[in-house]
Amino acid sequence: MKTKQLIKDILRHVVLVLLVSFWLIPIVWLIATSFSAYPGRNTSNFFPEQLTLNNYIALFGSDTVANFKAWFMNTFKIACVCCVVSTLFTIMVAYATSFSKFKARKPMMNIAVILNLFPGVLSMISVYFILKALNLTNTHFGLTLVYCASSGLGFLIAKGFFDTVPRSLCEAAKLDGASQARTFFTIIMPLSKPIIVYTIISSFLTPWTDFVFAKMILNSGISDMWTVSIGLYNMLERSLINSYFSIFCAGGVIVSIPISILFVIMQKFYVDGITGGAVKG
Amino acid sequence: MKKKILAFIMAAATCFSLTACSTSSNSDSSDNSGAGNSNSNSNSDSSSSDNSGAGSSDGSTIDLVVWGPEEDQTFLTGLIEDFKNQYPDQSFNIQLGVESEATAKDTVLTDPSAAADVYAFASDQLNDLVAAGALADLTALSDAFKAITGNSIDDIMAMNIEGSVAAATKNGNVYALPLGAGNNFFMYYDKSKITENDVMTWDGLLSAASAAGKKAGMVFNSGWYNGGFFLGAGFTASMNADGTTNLDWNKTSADGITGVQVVEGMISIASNPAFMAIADNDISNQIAAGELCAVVSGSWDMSTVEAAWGAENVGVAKLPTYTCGGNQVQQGCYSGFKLMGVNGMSKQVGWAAVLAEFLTNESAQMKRYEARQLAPTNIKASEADAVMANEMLAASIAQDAACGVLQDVGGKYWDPTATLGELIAQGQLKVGDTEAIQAALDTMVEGVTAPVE
Repeated sequence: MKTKQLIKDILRHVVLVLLVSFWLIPIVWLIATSFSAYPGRNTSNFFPEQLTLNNYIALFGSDTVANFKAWFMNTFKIACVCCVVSTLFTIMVAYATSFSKFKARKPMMNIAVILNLFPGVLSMISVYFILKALNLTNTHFGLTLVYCASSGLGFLIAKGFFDTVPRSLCEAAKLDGASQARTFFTIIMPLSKPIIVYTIISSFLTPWTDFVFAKMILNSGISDMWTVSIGLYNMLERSLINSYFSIFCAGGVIVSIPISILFVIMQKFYVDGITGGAVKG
Repeated sequence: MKKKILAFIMAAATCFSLTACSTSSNSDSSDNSGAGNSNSNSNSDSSSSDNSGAGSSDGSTIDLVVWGPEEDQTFLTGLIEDFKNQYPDQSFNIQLGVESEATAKDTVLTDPSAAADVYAFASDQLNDLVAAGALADLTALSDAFKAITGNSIDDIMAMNIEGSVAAATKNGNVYALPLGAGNNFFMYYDKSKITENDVMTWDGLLSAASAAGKKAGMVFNSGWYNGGFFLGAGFTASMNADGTTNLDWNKTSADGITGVQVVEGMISIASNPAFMAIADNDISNQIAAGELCAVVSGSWDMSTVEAAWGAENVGVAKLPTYTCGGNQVQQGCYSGFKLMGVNGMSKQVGWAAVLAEFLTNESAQMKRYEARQLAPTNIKASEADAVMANEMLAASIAQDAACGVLQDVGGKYWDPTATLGELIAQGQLKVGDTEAIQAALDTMVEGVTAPVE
């Protein structure tokens, strides 16, 4: 019996190790290539022949191709604003739909779910022309607006979480004369840390991972204005890739740093957030 | 009641804050607006181009955006300063953006009205850009242009080599100014392994490479490279107004060579053990890997080749001849030029054209040559000592002269021709099997000439 269990365990772990190694290979390759002394694409070896730190130094050079400092700051700025605004929107919508009873609640939630079913890129062209009419293309404000504007629609998971908060707490607060805002900020928010953390992480990630909207809105070709994703993409251009590919990999590694830090800090809330929100939807 | 009033006030506040946002960001964006789309500028294009001749400076600043490739950024920044100094009476706000010549068309056509006023692009994109109204007709601006610069458009075009003028002209109108040539490919060889005589023919080259224990490489699975064999044999490829491509490679060329003979010539090269068929986009990597002693590529690989073989060993020559139906046929290539165009939707067409001229004139071309070794199209610049002494440019120019054909093909050209090259490189077609070769050629031509959906 014991040996049977042991064999099962070994098999399971072998499968897991295999899966993990498949999954890790590209990441190992990315990190290895980011230290490569050969600037172009090296398809002959998996690990670079010579190692150097120069790619990371070049990444922060004043070159217009490797203007990483400006891109990083731009993205960081947008991500921070986005993080605050989107989180507020999401949490507030979730609070309203979870705790208040009003006539249009159900229809509004249905509309929101249906709207959410459409991929965001469908609206790309119209978003572009509206922003252009308002003279907001090529501004970070316009880009932030696009990222934040629809964030209220992502309220479902947060609402699911709020539904688990005991009603009696709110009622007690109400009896004590607290306004809705006060109930929200002093009673509900402290109880909902996990879901708020989850929302913060997901809204912080949007600007780091988005390419389509950034490329479309920041189309002036001025590299100081770009976000990280456009800047890195530009390095892969035909005439540049042979001298910038390793630097591109270094950029890829650095981009993952702020996201990882945020994730590590908020990890323990994160798991609670997803599972808590998903229990009752 | 109280609640309703509160709701109303909230709604009003929301509206107000929205407008406040948009106005503040408006002023914001005109400060750093990238794409010259600020409507506030009272100068319409016609007024500026008409009376700019008199050096009209009504005090307003002219906003211009220039797009140039990455390699040009540094010296373009300098040239733009020179341009401002040249016209001190007019105040300019010129911004420089990055856009490679190779991808300019895609970016510009996404939204021509948001694109730069002046931008560089490769000559094969001209047709599409003109069709979209993204290039201003410079011939129509000629008079205003002459008033400022003292030269008409025709005068300027006359300063450039013939091929580049043809590449910038469509239906008799000039749509762009040439800024550089040499967008073609030629032969790099390692002088320590291969002699100048060997690279005259593919046969000589391959046997010399074999003797040296190295390989000679070329990209076969790309229509841009393998089309050279057909072009050299007198075949043609051209594009119609609707974007479809004409191709006669499955027939007999003007030189009396059949397509089958060309393919057989290619097969005998590809099947030689000293030949390496390189995958498209893998050339630089293969050069660095060190197995090659000769490779067909363009000016962009100069530094890679020098690093691999040592600068003193790098030789350059026009492409070799290949054996085709018992004769030696010169391998051709597509040639292309780099052009500087003025956006047809620019608010400042007149000044944009003047700036475009300034960025492509003789001294600008010399500076560009120094910065990135791009062959000048300006006749005087191309006759300068430094340019004449450059072996690489000489090879590129010799190749163009030998049989460069201006690239003029539609989007359907690339995949079928790449497939044929791949079939040949993999040895799936055999010399003597004329039926299979003819069938492969017919399939390719059918694919290339298919209507564009």
